[in-house]
This record gives sequence, structure tokens and C-alpha cells, in this order.
Amino acid sequence: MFGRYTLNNFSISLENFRAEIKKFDNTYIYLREGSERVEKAILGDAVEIVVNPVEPVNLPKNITNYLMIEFRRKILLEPGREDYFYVTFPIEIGVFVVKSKEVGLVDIFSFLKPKYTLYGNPDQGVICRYWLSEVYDRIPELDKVREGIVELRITNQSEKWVEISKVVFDVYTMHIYYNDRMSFASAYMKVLSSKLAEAEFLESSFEGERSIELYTTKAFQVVGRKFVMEWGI
Amino acid sequence: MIEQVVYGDVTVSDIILASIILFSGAIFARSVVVFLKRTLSERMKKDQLELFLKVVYYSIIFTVFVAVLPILGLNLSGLLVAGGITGIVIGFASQSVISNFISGLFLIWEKPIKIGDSISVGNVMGVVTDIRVMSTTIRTFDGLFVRIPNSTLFTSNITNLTTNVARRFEYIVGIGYKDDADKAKKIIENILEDHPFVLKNPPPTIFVDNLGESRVDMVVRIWAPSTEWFNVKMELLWKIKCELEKNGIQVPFPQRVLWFANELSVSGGYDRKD
Repeated sequence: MFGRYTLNNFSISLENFRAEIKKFDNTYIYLREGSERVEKAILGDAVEIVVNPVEPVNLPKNITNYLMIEFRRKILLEPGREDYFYVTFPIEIGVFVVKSKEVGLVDIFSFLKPKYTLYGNPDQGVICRYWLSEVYDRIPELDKVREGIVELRITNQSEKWVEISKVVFDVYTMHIYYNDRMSFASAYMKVLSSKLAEAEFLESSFEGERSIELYTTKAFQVVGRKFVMEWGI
Repeated sequence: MIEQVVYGDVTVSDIILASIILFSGAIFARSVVVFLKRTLSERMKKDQLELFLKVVYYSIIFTVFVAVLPILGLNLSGLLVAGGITGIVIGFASQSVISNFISGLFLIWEKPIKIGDSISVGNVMGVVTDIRVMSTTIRTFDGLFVRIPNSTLFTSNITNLTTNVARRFEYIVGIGYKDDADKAKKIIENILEDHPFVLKNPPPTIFVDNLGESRVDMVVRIWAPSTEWFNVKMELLWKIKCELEKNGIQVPFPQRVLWFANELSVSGGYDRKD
């Protein structure tokens, strides 16, 4: 499903879902049918269609740029220890038109029901896309159109044992990579105390294509976008 | 004609020159603002951009104004001396104007509201469209333009409906006395779990709140993102009603059970006497 297509060969179908581009006279029409119907005209030639996973904060509409992954199994980490494991993230799929490096968004869809949550309190917290994940010690086999893998490296910099039940990211730091088997992202969580941590996505050396990103930091951004989890981990 | 002296050393040509400079300065300020608006509109938040543009605009206008004063024969140091006395006179004469101006500065500094916020002030409720130095404008939810003087706004109780990222609302859902409240609760929980913007945390709460005259009242409390809560509120109640009915739970009408002291005899028809 993920990859590059031309206007003439773009067609995706899965279960009750179907997305395709049809040509009517001189106009290409993008058509998606499934739980809802989306129809858009594409006016352009020699255009490439790219389908890839995007940051999962767009559906049913974008109201936040934060992603919370809650672990189904809590993790206890000894003082000073650094370790890594794998969790999953929800897949939202973006369809783009690309011509000479200029990218236009055609559509975003997903095979999952989105859910949102509040991290912190109503006056100082943030709304996050919510995702409940299993915790794996090796890369699991997953349904690649529904779930991606996050390799999460955690460091406990405190002097006490800490219990970790969730991680919150700003998706502006998210880089998703994909190949035929999976979607993949790398992340880092630095635990500073039993209630405080920093989390961010990292660049990865994963062998695969890098997704076109919807949320990119501006070139002149000075302040980092790692998320400070100050309302509990 | 244009060399004719108007006052002091100032001639008609000086006044024309000053007018041209002021006019050009105003056009220049407007051009700069338009350029900055185009350039920065995607990089800055709308309220911050509006404030920045106002600062830029009035700075240019002020600079041009100060630059023009010597052409008109006005000495700044002299103005400063006269300004003290004039300021007192003007201050007394325009208390409400000054009050609005100062309140406007405090509003911009304290930031209880921003452009785009939904607020409630007194009996006005709507979206803040602009915060000027003298007044704040609001577009009510039914599309009316309301201008509130800043002094009024500053001394009023302001309820900002969108400052907090999440807010709670509630329904009262009535079920019959013969219906299973636990089953109704489960059905409602499933509907809420299905909706993306019913927040996972804080979790919704559903409980029997009141045993009414003709129904059992269940309170459903839901947290939703502040930007979405009204849409969620509009969507869910009817869904809950339909789903309850689909599962055999009736939302009852008011009803009263009557007991008669003597047993009533019911006949099959009636006699009509002309």
C-alpha cells in the first residue's frame, strides 16, 4: 500500500475500502470510498502520487500535535539504567501529489478509530491523540496498515526506581520510515524523576523510505520541541 | 501663494510638505503591515501577529509624525513642557477615553483574552475578533458585531470559554423504573468510547442521580476538547436516545399511576341522549 504511484496506476483496495484515481476527459479525479466518500480533482501533469504513514494526529480533524502512547504493561526501571523496547503507534495514511519536490496533500485516512485524551489538567495540560500499546522486547509482527513500531530508548537519570506507564510526544519531532514490512520510528525518553521526563522522536537509521511529514519545525526554530512530561509518567 | 506665511516661519508650502510626508508615511506604514501580514501569517499565531502589526504600524506613524513636527515649526522640547499642562487638561476632559486606553494596555498585557477566543462578558457571548487600544470587538454566536469599551471589559467578569484545553458538559438521561440502569450505563459507555473527542482521561462518569416521579435520572458527564465540546454535545444525546431504545430501554414520558378506592366498571360503549 505504501509507496509511489503514477496518476494512471494509483489504486488501493482493502476490505471495504477503496481509493483510486480515474481520468475523466482531461481531469484526474481522486476517489475514496469506505466509511466515507472523498472526491477531489487533480489538475496537474507528470505528477507522482505518494502514499505513506503520517503523524497520527489528523483524524477526524487536527486539534493537537501531541501523541500519548500508554503502555498496557507498566515498566519499572532501576536507577541509572538505560534500556530499550518496542511499542506501537497508530497509523494514519497520507496521500500526496508530488511534482519537483513540491508536495500537496490529497487525503488522509485510517483503518483505526481515533481517540483523544487530556494529559495534565484542563488549564495547563494538553490534548493528545491517545493510543494504548503492548510493550515488546523485540519487533513484533503487526498489521502494517494499522500499527507502526516505535523503538523507545529510556534512560532513568533519577536515583530511584521509576514506574513508567505512558509517554507523550510532540509529533513535530516525529520521523516515520516505512518499507514493505512495517512503519518505524525511533524515540527517546529521559526520566528525570518519578513524575518528570522528557520525550522526543529521533532520526533513525532504519532501512526504508522516509515519510513525507506534515508537521515540520521551521528552519529558524531555536527552542527544541522535546516534550516535557511534567504531569506524571 | 505657497510661500505665504501662515504662522511663525511656517509657510503654506511647509504645511503641504508636512501633509505629503504624513500621507506618504501612512501609506508606507500600511504597505509594511500588509507585507508583514502576508509574510508572517503562517508563522505566527493570529493574535500575536495582530499585536505585532499594530506595534509596527503605530511606531511608523509616530516616527513620521515626530519627523514632521520641525517642518511645522513645532519644537519637541517646548511640546514636552506644554504637554504637562495640556495633559492635565486633556486628561480631565477625556477621562473615559484615557480610561479605555489604559484598560486596553492592561488587557493586552494581562491577556485574559486573545483574538479568536470564545468569551462571555455580561450578557454578551461570542468570539473575540479584535482587541484595540480603546475597545474590543466581539462577533456573537448569532453573527452580531458588538463593541465593548476596554474599561467596561477590564472591570467585568470575563469567562473565557476556550482558555482551558478541555471542558465538561453533562446530560440527564431518564430511563424507566423497570429498566436496568447498569445495562443503560454500559450502552452509554460504549457510545462514549466510540466517539473520538470524548476524552479518555478525564473519563466520562455515568451514575443514577435522582429517582424522579416518573423516571430514573442518569447523569452523564463528559469531558471534551474546548474547541470541540459543542459539536460533541450536539452529536451524542440523540445517539444515546436511539441506542437505548434499540436495546429496549425507553426514555419515559411523565406518567402517574392512579389508584381508585372503588373498583371501576368499564362499559364497551356509551349512550347518547339527545
